Amino acid sequence: MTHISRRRLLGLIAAGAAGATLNPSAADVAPGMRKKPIPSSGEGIPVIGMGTWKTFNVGGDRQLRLDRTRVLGEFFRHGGGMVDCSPMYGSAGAVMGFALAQLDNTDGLFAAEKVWTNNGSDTRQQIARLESTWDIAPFDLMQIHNLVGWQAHLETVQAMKQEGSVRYIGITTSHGRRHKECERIMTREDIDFLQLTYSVTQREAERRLLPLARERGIAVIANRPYDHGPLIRRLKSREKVPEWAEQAFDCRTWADFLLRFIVSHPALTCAIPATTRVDHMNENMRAGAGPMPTPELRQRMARFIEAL
Amino acid sequence: MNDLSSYAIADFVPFTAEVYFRLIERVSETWWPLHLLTLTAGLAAAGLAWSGQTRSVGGLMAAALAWVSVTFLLTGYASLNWAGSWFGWAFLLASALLLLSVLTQPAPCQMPARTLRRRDRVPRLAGLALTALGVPLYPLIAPLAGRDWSQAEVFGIHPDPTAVATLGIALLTLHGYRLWLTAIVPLLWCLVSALTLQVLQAPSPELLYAAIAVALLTCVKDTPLG
Repeated sequence: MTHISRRRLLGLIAAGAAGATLNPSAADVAPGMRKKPIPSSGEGIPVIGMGTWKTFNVGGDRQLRLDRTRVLGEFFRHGGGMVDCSPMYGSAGAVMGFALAQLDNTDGLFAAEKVWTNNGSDTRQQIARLESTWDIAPFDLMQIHNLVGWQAHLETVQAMKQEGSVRYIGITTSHGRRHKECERIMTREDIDFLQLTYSVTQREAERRLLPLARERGIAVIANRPYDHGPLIRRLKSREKVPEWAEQAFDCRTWADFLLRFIVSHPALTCAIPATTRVDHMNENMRAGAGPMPTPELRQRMARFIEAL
Repeated sequence: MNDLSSYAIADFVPFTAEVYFRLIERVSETWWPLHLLTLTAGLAAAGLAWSGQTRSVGGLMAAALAWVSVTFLLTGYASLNWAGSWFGWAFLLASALLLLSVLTQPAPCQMPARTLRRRDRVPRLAGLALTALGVPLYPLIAPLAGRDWSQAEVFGIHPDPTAVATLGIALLTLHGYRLWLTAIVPLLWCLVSALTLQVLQAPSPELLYAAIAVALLTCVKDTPLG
């Protein structure tokens, strides 16, 4: 008879519970995550990705790292693709490296990072550090964060793309900053991606940047789709999802409403909501699997939110 | 960076309240029961400062600042905030400046009696109030705000009470440019921390703003800049 200590028994129970949580059944996975093509290559990526600003910056806290691993596991279970990070996000890259190492299934990962330094000669070193932190190479997408030192960085990442050291390159902005400069870069430079803030309440990009992205064949990533959280919290606490939206495109949650508004724009490729919660991740991912609103419905959705 | 003016304060706080308070908790767990020693040292520093024994006080406070720099800011906080290591080095600098200031401060008996009378009353009361806030009162804030005792912030373990107490002790013991030199880093930290707590929608940034106001007004009254 094999003897087993109490401590080992408790350890096995805990490991079993963790495993069950990290690899839950596939019963509640929404079928058919939609994909959109990256215009410069035709490669399809899921329309719902994942941001990591604040949510994955948990330092060395093992308990919180395991919590975030569960969130990431759920993301992949639903067929998620793009994970977006930055050196500005503290330990988020290291936590991503930890989480990826814990998970059995990371199929479909589209790893997006950023260069963020004023030093134009530090591009390659920073990217090498990020690769080491994530334990991944090459990154699928390397972006120049908030256009910081963009001329020097863009030159280097373009060379790295030629060498095969990154697959796609892009620029980022947020909160509607520096749109004119983005426009100049989109017009004059060879980039694959533009990341900007776009949501049902932040629609400045519709005027110039989104039409230009379509014209120039540039994929667009929407950051802060919930206006950093308060928008969806306010809606959830005060309003029910309108019946007409449910009837028209099976919109059952506010995540459906807000995310489908974004990714149904013809210029948009992907939205990257961030969360620390598995239930919110489920909501986000289901939004990418259902029917999308028509242009007329999008107008109605915008009017509905404006009227609140 | 190039367009700093277009950033909001929230853009410089890259973590959630949950993560920040977990860091406070984890550092506490790591060093318990050192808290008892640091609290005793803080109370002893207050007593020594009140009785004018500035050199011993300087040693205790410099040690507390350096310890918090290494064990909280450089080891833990720096992993959450890209500017965290700057604050760690700033605390080490503050530790050195405090030590230098108390070692070069003229002994009270070397000052003219009239100067002592004029200078001492307000700074001593303000200093005592801030030291009381930073040492015995600060650990009570977390439970009073509805957080767990494990997240209580303690002088010599966490940066906020250490910075507040340093301001208090500096007001009790230093004057002139030495007071300003010693106060500048704790003042800046209190401001950064108050703004952080405000972004995190956490309770008690008002206490830090109040500490800044008391310390600044007293410093200006003691030695007007310029």
